[in-house]
Amino acid sequence: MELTDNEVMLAVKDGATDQFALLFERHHRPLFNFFYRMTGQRSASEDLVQEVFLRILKYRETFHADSQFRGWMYQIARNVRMDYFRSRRSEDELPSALEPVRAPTSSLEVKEQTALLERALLALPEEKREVLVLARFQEMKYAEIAALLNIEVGAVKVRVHRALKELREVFLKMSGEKPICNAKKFGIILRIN
Amino acid sequence: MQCEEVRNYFADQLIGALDASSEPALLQHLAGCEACRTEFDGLRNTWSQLQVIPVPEPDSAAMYEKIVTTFYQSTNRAHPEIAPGTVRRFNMRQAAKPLGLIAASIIAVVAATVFFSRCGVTLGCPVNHSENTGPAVASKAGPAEPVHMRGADTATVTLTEYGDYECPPCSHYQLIVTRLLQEFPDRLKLEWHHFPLSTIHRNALLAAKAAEAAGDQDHYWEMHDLLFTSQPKWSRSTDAEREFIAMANQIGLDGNLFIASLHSSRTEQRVLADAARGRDLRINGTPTFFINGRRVDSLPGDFEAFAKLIAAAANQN
Repeated sequence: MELTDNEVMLAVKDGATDQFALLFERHHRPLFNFFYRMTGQRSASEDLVQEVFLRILKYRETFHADSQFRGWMYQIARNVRMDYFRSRRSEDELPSALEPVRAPTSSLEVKEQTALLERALLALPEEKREVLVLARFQEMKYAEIAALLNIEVGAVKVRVHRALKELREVFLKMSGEKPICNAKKFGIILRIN
Repeated sequence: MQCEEVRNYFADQLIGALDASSEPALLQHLAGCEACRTEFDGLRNTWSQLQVIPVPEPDSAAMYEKIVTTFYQSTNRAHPEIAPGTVRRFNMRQAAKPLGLIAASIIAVVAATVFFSRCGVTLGCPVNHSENTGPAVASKAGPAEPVHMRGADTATVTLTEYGDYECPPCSHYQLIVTRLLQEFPDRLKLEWHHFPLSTIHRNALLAAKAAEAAGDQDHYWEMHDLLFTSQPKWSRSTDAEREFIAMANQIGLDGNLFIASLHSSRTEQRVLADAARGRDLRINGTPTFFINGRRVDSLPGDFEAFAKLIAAAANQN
């Protein structure tokens, strides 16, 4: 039977450091995806993944038997990401779009829509982008996100809803489509072509 | 059910986590409320679109190499007098006890530094002991096959490596070993053995067979090197065979012969016989190295540390 992440991490903590590579194997790609969605930059994302694993090694004594490895790792990842954004603020802004990735099977229209959505995602405030990335791309349960962000599950759901709504509004705005009515007020959506 | 209440269910419905008792009410409301239906359809559409945003492939091997390099640089700075691979196992808990009164963050940093610099960390791919590395074979090594050697025939130091082409640490050490062969052109030779960790690396066995298939056309080492340099590309592929065939073309192999070798049972048996030897040697991770038959218990973290071990072995002869 395959060892769980917690078992592997406890083994690493106890000195079986050759097991560290298994954690890297299992988690470096999801972490890379997390950072890439947050930063839009491949190179920076690779650097941030490296920093997370270095901190896992450095602070492994702080991992306890009752910890959940994935939550612990993402807490480190959030700290690393916050450090990164803090340093970026004094330098330059985030890119307006993710670095292009080849999507050979996509039609031109789909590619354009996807590129717009990428731009819209990066245009969201960090807090909203983060909760969307965790829920959609990292496939975290709301309870897991709540524990990570130290908020109630209900608050996570509200954030996801609001973030997705804002993302859609930004996306539509970029697409040239503007929802003009207040649906709550009028009960319908009108569009101007 | 009011619109505000319904919208509280949107987040759950998007991920298919809405409880069975609430879903009928939500669907009923959406059927009768165009505003909520429009909003939910829009959100669901955006939610779906998010999934198709492509993500580039990270350079896993380079990342791992940098982690190892950075880590060793920091530990070597802390304890330059301790050579990797020459010290005893160190108990972390014993190391931490005297530091009990220091602030927690300092303990973690100091203790980790002390531990890793004294035990000699082996940051390789671990073997999953509960599963075989491939189809069942006899526990004893199979019939003797020509081993893969590179370097001077007359070299006095033999570096034996059990490795996996899909293992990022192996890719890291490939760079080091290549430099070692250049540094000790007359004194060092490399003996490579396959140890594909098929339980965690889905394309590892096929990669080893690709190297063997290239060897059938006397291009073993070209494929060996290419497998490592292009590891980030094929390791995530769902059609690795196509990648390997393209690589065979790249190095000028006969494509039909390559494919025939790739699928021959003899090729697979050669790989599995190597893996069986590794198991007999109680290999517990990749890469595992032996210098003149003596196991390297703690992997040297960088080229300089490895070169010292090779030089020491050369001077003994």
